[in-house]
Amino acid sequence: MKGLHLCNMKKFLNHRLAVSGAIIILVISVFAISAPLISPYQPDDIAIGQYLLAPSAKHWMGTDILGRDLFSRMAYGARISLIVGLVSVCIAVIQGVFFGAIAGYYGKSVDNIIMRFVDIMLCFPNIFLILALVALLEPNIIIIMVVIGATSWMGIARLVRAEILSLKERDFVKAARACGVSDFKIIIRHLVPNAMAPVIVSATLGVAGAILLESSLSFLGIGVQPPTPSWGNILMDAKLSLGIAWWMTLFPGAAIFITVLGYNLLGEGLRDLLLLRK
Amino acid sequence: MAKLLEVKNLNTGFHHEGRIIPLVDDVSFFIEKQSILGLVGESGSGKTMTALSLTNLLIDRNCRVDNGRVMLEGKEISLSDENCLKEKRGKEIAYIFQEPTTSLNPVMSIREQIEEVLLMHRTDIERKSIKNFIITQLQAVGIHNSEKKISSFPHQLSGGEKQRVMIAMAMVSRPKLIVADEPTTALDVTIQAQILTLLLELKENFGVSILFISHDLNIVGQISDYIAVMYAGQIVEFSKAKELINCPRHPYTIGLFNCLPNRIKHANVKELSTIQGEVPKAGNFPDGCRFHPRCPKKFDRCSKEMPPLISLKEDQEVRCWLY
Amino acid sequence: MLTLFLRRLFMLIPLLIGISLISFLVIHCAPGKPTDMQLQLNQKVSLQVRERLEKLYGLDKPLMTQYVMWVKRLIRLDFGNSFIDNRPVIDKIKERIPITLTINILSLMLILIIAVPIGVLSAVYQESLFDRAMTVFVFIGFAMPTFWLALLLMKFFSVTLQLLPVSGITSIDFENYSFMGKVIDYSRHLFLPIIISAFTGLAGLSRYMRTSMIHVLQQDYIRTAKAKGLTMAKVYFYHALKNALLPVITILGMSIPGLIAGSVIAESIFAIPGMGKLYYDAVMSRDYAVIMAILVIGAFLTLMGNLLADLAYFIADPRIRVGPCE
Repeated sequence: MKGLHLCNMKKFLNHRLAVSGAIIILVISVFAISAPLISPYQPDDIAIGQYLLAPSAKHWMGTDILGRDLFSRMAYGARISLIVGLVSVCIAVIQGVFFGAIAGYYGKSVDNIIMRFVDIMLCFPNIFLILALVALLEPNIIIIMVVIGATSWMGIARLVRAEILSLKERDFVKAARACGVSDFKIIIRHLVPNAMAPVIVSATLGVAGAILLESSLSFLGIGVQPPTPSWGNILMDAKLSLGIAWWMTLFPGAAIFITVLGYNLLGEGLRDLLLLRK
Repeated sequence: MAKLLEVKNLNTGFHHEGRIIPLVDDVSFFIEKQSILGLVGESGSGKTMTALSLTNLLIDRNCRVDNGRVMLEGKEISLSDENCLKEKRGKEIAYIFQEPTTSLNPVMSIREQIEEVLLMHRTDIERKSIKNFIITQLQAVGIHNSEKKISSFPHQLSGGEKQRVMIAMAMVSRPKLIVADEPTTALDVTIQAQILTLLLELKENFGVSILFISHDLNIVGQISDYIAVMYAGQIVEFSKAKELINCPRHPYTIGLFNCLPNRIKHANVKELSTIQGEVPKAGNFPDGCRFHPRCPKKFDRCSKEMPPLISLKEDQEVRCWLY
Repeated sequence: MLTLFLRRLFMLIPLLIGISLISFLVIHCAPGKPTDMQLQLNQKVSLQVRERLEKLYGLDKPLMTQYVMWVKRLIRLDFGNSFIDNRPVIDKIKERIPITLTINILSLMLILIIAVPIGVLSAVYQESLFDRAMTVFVFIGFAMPTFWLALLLMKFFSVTLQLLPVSGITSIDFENYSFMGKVIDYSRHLFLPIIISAFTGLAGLSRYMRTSMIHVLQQDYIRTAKAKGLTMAKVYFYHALKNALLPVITILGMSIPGLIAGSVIAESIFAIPGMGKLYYDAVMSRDYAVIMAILVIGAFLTLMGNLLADLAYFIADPRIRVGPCE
């Protein structure tokens, strides 16, 4: 077992896509976690008269319209982006696995109802639904995570259902059922663990999607609300100073781009390693 | 009789990370005009690769013809010149493949698929008479109701009909050689016999030569004028069909005959049996004679030196140290 | 084929009911009643007015009755009046829909025109320099936040080069332009929004096209086509492409919600008066009538897009168009 694990690790390290994605994610995560240590200023410290300063030794990434240090805001913003990305994907995975497993295992009308529900949810352009919900429920970070999670579980549910449909015909499941193991135990112990590979891939790519969504919402002013910094709402400010402060546009946008790229690379790498190589 | 096609020292390999795995190894043979050469061997012996190499139809980018000459009526076909090959393919050398179901384009009508061959290779037929020509050709290969069938799509036809369409498609350009790669393997036994009869008729009526590839020695024996036996990428025996059936020389050929349930009676075959072991995979060929691990008559030399093709008499060659 | 299509139409009914139910619940499960907002905007409204408003929207009735009433009005395309300017919601939407549809259809066409050849060439010349470059492009496309790209392009074309207008759909003196002038003015304003709308889809579709094409190129009938002596152009761009495009039709249908969602971002950045901007403004001002209407219409458009895609698929694939036997 340990040998197998090591062998997988070696395969992973030899995969260029996966490794470069993992490195990007690691760097951004360290940046986010150490935000209080590396930030030279408080993210909401306003320096009177020092607004829109270009990057310098004093302000590594310059200052914003209110004279706040952009580097410090970027570091704290990284926390928001990563937390929102990870938590909302966790919510989506839990929901998707739950509905997918039940639909796949029980089949028939349960399956029919759940899958029609998935179809219906997929009809709504995601930003429409999210905007409506967030606006109605007052935008704060918890609501945002819940809403993003609640509107992006459908793909995972379909994946899990498909896996379970094929798994439940296998002998070890039939054997477990013949021995009188309860449905719940069969699903949790035998089916779901065996259906996880595509879910892991989809969840990794989902983090990228969730980070993009959160930053879009914040950019539109409906996501994370100032003064809490998020890469998206820094860009909202950047739009106002588009012609004069290039640093306001460049740094947060590039940060989103690189983080999303990291998760996409890792996700594609994992897809290659977990799904295609089998 | 004059030779239509001559293949000399054909080598086709799978290129992977600087290594070459031979799939077709130094294969030479010829086909006479208006005759059928049967190419037999187990699956994986390089029959299909040989057939595809004739016009460099290798789809896998890692497969390449490395060496060899192919001559059609004495003129060499340049295997590296795509433009030259394009003129030979379909026009002079036409193909019929194993799986009629997957070999026809599912989203094009039968008419469209035959028509494009005509537009490409038969400029002598006027455009407005093309449709009638196709209908008569479909009738000629035994498709009933061909006025209607001409506008159908592959999924509407039976397996036998599809293979007849493939044959019609190969014949409309009046090629000199048809390469039929296991044309009857995917079909029912009764349809098999009909298709074989059809191929024989085409040979008589149109004077076309056929390279008939099959794993089934029985079928090959029924229709061929010459037979070549392939094993592990090499030809191990080549001779006139009658000669080979009456007196197989190579231990592998003898083994193949022994495997036939309804054996053709002759001297060298004693009882129904199997050939021990498995066909070696390309890249893992044994040293010496490639058949020696499975050969009942092997001796020291067989595992050390690869035997050359030894001419026994005119038009008869065997790759075995026994001779 | 007809029965298949009728069955497909029949499947729409539960979906339509589901869409209306969810839209309805989204609004009504939110804390606070839709009328609260109107009262906040206009502090002078007395309690009596509030009651009258509640009656008007039927808010005093049980939820089920409210839903039935709402659906009945929905069928007549009566979405009520906007809370902001009291105009009928349907009129506001009718004004805005053509712009959004134009942008989306144009960007869809742009996506197809560019992504299909890229995908085909990447598949044919797999692992070539071109293919590798396109793979990099695809990763960039997937990771690029469209609103950031919009800002960058806006900065470059409108601020630095001053080539294109920053926002809006027409110039101030639009009325005085000649016909050609008007067309040029429109296209100058729509250029960036269309690029932005198309960007992510471009990456996605070219990737999908590549995968689909690689699969088709391994099929036996491609070997047959080559064996017939056809030109490579005909083998790839006719025999193979015809098959490889089939699954793309479905993907195009599925990409419609993404496009519609994208128009919220593109239209609000470039201040284009389309449905996306209308929705954004409605959300910002809590204009429930408009939110609910657009939510339903957006989902309905998606449904219609999927239906169209299925219909196109039925027509394009002879295995479905003409039955197994005559």
